[in-house]
Amino acid sequence: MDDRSRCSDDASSLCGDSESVTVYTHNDEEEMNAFVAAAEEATGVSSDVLRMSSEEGWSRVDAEYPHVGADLQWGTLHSFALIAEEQDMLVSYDSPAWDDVPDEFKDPNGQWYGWSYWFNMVAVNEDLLESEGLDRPESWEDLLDPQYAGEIVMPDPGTSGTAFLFVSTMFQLLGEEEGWEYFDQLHDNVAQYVQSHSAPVQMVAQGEYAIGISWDQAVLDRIDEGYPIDYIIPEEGVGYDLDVVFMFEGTENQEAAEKIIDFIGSDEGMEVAAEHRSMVTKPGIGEDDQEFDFIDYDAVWAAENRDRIMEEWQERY
Amino acid sequence: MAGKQQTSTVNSVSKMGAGFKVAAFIIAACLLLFILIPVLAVLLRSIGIGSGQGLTLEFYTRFFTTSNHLEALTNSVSAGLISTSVILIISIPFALYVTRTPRSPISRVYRGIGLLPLVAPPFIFALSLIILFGRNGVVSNVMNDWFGLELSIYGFWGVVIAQVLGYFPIAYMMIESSLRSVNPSLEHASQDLGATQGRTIFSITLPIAGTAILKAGLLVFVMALADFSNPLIIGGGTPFLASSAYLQVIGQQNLEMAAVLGVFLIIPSLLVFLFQTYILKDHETASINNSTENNPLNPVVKAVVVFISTLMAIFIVVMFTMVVLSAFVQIIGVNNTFTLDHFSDTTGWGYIWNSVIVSFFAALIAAGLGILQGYFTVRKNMAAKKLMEFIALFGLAVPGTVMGIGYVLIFNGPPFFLTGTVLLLVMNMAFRKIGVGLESGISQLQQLDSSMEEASADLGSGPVGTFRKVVLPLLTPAFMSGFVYTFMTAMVSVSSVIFLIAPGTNLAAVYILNLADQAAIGRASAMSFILIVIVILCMGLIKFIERRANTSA
Amino acid sequence: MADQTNTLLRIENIEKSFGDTTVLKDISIDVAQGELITFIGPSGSGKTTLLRIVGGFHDQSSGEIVISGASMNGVPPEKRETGMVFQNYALFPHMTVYQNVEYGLKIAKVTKEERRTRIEEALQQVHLHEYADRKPSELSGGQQQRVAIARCLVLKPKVLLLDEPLSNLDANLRAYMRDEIRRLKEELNLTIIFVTHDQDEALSISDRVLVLDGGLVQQLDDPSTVYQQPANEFVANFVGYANIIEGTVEGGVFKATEEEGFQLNVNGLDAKSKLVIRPEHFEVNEDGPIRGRITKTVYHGSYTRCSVQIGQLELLVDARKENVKRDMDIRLSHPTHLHFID
Repeated sequence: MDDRSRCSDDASSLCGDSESVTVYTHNDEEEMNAFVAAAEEATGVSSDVLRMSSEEGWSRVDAEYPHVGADLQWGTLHSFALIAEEQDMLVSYDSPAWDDVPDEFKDPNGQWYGWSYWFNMVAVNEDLLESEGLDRPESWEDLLDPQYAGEIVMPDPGTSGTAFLFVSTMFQLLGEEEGWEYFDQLHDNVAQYVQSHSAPVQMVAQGEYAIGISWDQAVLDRIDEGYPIDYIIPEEGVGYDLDVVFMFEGTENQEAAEKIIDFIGSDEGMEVAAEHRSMVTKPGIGEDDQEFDFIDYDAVWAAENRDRIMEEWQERY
Repeated sequence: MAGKQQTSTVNSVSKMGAGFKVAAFIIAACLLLFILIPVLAVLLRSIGIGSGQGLTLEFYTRFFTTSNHLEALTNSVSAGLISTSVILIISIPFALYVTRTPRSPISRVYRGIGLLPLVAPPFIFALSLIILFGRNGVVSNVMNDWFGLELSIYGFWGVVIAQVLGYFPIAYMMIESSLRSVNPSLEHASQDLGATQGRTIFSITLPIAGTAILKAGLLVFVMALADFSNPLIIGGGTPFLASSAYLQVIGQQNLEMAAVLGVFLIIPSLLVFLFQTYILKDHETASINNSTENNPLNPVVKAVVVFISTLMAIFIVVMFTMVVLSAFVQIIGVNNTFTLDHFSDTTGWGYIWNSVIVSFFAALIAAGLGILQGYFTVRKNMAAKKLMEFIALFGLAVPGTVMGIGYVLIFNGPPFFLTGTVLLLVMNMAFRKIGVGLESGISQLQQLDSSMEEASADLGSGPVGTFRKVVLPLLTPAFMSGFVYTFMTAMVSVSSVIFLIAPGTNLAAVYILNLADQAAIGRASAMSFILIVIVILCMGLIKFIERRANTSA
Repeated sequence: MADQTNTLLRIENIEKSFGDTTVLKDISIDVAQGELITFIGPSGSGKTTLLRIVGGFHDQSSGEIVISGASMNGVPPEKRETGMVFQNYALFPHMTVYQNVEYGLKIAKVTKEERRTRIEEALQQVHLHEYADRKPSELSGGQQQRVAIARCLVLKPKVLLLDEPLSNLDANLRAYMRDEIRRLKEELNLTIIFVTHDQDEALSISDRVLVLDGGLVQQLDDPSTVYQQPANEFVANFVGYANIIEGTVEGGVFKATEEEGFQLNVNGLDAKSKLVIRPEHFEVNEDGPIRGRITKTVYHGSYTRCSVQIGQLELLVDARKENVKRDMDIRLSHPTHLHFID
């Protein structure tokens, strides 16, 4: 059960061939199960995973450092990678598997690697819109319309990276003062701030609410499953973020962790990722036919201003 | 037997052998480390000690100036008061019905139904409520189609209803047993003196059972106040103390504010605990005369109690049915085709295995050490035994969230580094429940004549031998009750361990909460279903072993 | 005693079964105003069930309870003018003595002033007026018993039902409470039904005794008749000790079947097949006509109970002299009292 403590002392003798790593992730269970299974098949390294929302995971890492309870962060916000790097929490590793991935998606020092993009997306329940006599919203601005009062559900930026991406997108679009005005008004329409980033889509899919703010794959998966929902990319554009993997300073399974990073960067790994994501960072893998309106999202700004914004958010809502 | 030797061995019954001294010392150290110190750490952190800022009331000032936190306080307190009142109003007639129709097979079924929620994670009803009364719930849609009513269960009232369902069996169990022990001839006497059955119930039966009812109410109130998972699932963002404290920790790593919220959780619990332990005394009820039986309920009273109990029983059954159904269909209410997909979650099965292992060892430790401590408390002069008993019982009263935060504060860094280990999960669950083993051990020992031990010592058995050969077998029932209770609660507990899990040591109940949180109702239901089945099977197995042991003995 | 004009309580053809077991068969008794009647019998005889039927705690299967000419069929306990004192007193533990006694009056909506007077009166009657503010747990067993009685008396019930009220008290207290109940009955002209399994208690306290066994009335008579002239072998054995000797009567002489040498003059008696002789009705007398040998003695203080072998017969004899010993040959005088049963 507690592989970490068993294997950490002497990995080779106790754990033999079956190397393993401990992993924090913000990826959904389903995606992560597939990813982990593929990685184990390809590398022989098994993974013990703890899923937490991005912010939750980051809080934990922050609190645990320098004794982080995992070897790897396999999926979190780009911003957190930047903060972690700045605080010297990460281990550098130059992975040959990532050579074909453009430089903008990986750290020059090899401290973090981004394997896919994800971005905000709005889910609407078309049946519900119709039965409630609501217009289909087309922009972020539209969501402020009083007709949507009590019909919008979004994740809490205190726990969800998806929600924080949305919040910081609006600030980057509108500036800080108007940004707060926007959320003040949106607040009147929001029925619930939920903890998890995928819950809003699930709720919209099950007809609980008409409009949910979430991220691309959560929405597209539900559409694939045949729920009566559609996605909307608001006219102003959406923020996007890189999903990254990195190793924590102090890992006792660096070799195994490196194998995982190699796997994620490999064609094989990218193929698995592409099954669950709209876009991966390795050219030529996955569908490239979709075009979305992205804003020029500034992950560095987000990383630098996150604490301040969230403090004020807690005060306000 | 030589006189000299006799005196020395008899004395050894009340004196401590060296082995016992070591054991007593270990128990005392564990009680301090795993109960008292974490709680103290929370208290100190709330005034800034341990955060590097030194003594400050800044966090309390922040608490009282943040409307969200004040709202959490009022919500928690008022939800607690409301659900406690409702639970008492339902569980009294429910218990009356069950105790007054002992031969009716229906009332036996009702009793089973009333206790059923004990084997389920405490937040399972929040799931069922969403399935039924969510904005697109089965019932909500009917109400909407027929009456144009828009129901939404999310929010304060959803939490209250989920609490009523989840904590009902606790109150029901306590009230039922107290009603059973009210001497039937008191009711006969009252009726003979001219009181109707209704009046008899209000002026005789309930006042005599009053202490137990008050205790039940207080316990339920404290539990509801510390409720953590229902607000998360069905609270719809409405702030409550325990869930806010959790979000403070995991969302913002604001341990100081979490500690302040924890203090507001622990003060009422502590007050209730002190009140119960030192002020409340049971009425001396006359010894029960088994030959007399309670009068059958008269038609009016029966109609009332049957009506209320039936509503509650149906409600509980419907709630469970919803969980089972939604485990076996695609998406309940939306796509009702049968599927086993929700069960194909290998990660979840692994977590269930973790839960069984952790709960088993926690139960072993809680029951074993609890009873050993009980033995030291009653029969030996264990140092500071009153204080140790207090700490162990206090462990039962500490809200899980507070304990969890305390563990994070104490065990996250040097010198322990226990966060994320199975050991810490086991210790957390064991020491939160050690009071149960202790209490049942003490009450069992007080019933056993110490002359039996003296006889054994007199016959030449040393203190440890006496304990093993004479005391232990006699304590088996106490051990079993402590074990079963700890195992059952550990399997479904969330609020404390959610702070302590790590990759590879995730637990089933936490995972279900996580799924519910992602609104993955189907998979959450499937996991809950498995968990319930396993808890029931384990209990059955334990009962079976117990019976086999009894008949072979 | 129970003359027809004065009848307060009529128990008419009461039958009671629980499932397939019949516990009472065709019981009919008239109880007069001011009478104390005892139900006595072994456990399972149906005495408590009968009392509870009178009090309304059980429904009879058939028959009728009539109090003051009114049928009690379907009348619940709270509407019957009976007052029950329970074996364990059933005092309300959460109320003081005063509140216990007050309880029934409050329900009867008696005014506060009247309540006070009546409670004080009732507590005076049982000599407990100084204990009004105590809780039941602070009283002795005898005091609790008297509170239970006062609680009934204050309502002035037509019939007071006492269910083995003295069985939880020690011997001295029991004798004292027996006198107390008798005194209250005389002072207040109470009608009382008293259930006990203790024959001494039944004989000493009652106006009449009802002996029950197997759900059947064995005998209903005043105590001395029940003792001196038991209706059958069961009553003879249950109430006191009895030598029951089978035999035949010829020409006014009784001859024991087992021992032809045991002969008694029974001239003038209504001769039947069995003779009942109480042990105390023999007398050890050097000139007595009956010869026997003592095989066993049990010392009882005021007398010594001896087993006496007379030929094939073994009889119980109470010797009032101290000098009887085992293996002693003695002679007995003719019994002072003889009674024939079937």
